[in-house]
Amino acid sequence: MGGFVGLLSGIFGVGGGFLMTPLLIMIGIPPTVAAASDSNQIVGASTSGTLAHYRLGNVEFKMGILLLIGGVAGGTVGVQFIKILRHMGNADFLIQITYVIMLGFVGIYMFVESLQGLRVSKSTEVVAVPKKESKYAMILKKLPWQTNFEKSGTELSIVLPLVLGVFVGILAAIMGVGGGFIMVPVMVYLLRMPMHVVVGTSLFQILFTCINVTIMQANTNHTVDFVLALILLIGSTLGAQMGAKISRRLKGEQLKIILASLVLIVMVKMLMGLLLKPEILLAFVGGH
Amino acid sequence: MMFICGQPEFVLATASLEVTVRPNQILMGALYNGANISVMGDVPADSEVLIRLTGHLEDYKLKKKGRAMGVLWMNLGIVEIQKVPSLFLLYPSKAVNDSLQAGRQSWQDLGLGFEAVLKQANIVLDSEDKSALFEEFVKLEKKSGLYGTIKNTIHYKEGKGGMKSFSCTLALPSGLPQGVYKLDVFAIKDDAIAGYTSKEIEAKKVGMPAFITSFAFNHGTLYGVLAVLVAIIAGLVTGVIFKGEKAH
Repeated sequence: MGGFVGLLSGIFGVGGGFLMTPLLIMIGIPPTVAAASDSNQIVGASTSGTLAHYRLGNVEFKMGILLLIGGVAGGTVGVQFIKILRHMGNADFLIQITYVIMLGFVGIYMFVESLQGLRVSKSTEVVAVPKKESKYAMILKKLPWQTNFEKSGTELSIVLPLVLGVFVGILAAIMGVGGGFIMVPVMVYLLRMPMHVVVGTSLFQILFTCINVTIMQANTNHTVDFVLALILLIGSTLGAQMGAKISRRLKGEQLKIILASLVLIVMVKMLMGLLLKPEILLAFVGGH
Repeated sequence: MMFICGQPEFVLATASLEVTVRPNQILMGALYNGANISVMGDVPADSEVLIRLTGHLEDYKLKKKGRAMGVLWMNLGIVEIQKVPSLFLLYPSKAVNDSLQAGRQSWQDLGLGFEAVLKQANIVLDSEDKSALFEEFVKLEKKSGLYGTIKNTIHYKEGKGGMKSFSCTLALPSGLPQGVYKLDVFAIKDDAIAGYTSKEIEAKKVGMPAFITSFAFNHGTLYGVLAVLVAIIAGLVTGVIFKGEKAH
């Protein structure tokens, strides 16, 4: 299990919590322990993955740190927001609906866009036509504090990753996930980073998010099962290394289309969970 | 320590059974993956055996799922189920199991099965059917292996002096929490308790798991920091081992 999730993490730059936590619950681990121990093992997998991607020149540290700062601020706002929502009732409903809509939108957009990209790259007679600059690109250029991001080959205002980091942080806090699934499309489409650099940078950022979650869970809920995390780690760190190598061999569009398919599978699973009557109408507090 | 009730009236009125339990202490080390306990004894030849293993009473907070807007299933609130055992496993003989399945009133009055748990439980809820909710709770605990009826585990052999010998192997779940458990052995004849005895079994974490549990609860932050450090080191070591391709 650890190896498989680590592989996904290394290929796509996602933490893998969306897969590992339900798998652990399925084999009988209590949901709270599964979620906390999973975040502990993601620390190992993302360290391994970040190192592998760093060697391949795929980690944009400057961008990762800016997104991280924004993410921490956004996460703090998100936690307060979710408290208000819970107080008002129906918080779970909003969380699940946000999840399904976000994943559906991102998954379909990525899938269609990368499919078109694959078709274009297959055609041999591509006529180079100078592209008209989009309104979004023009707005980006007008933003203050433009900085060069070498690995991505782009020049952007530092305001943008900070603002987007806040946005992803809020969503991640509301949804109760690490945010890799939202961060990857944000980096690809809004920060216009190349897919390979996105994977490495996302892993670098996930590393810090999961360090924070592990320490918080260990301190407040005592739910980190170190032995379980260690067993998963052995597989996931190896998997992350192999994933990074596989990722390098795949084209950006191929990576995007596989990730889009994964996102859509998770979305459909969540939607089914909302529409079909659950086997048991009770659940322990603390699960995802 | 509080355990489930259900036998106080008959304890004095019924014969005490001779029962051997081996082992009566389970040591849960790093490789613990469930344990087997052997229960042996003698009961009157015309009676049937029911073994019941129960944990101490606990309170649970659970999310209750329901339908919102007519189509969507989601968490609709929190339910508190108080004073229910942390473990409730029944090991009935075939005849006892048939009686349990039949659900006769005389059986329910004995208070040996899940109905006794429901009777004692306090379910904090205003408007809903408490027994339906309790059924869902039992389903949830059965999924974890902590509640259940395990059939075909009681075996008989002929004995002497109007008695018969029984033996049973109790398979305890891998997710068994640390604690003291109560093992009740009932001899049942004509829907009444003809003999009874009770033993205690202790499940105790030892070695590395015991150290880790104690460390995690007494020094949470330090435990978290160390867990993170070990994960980072494991990631770095794997990275070094796999050092193959160079940076661009």
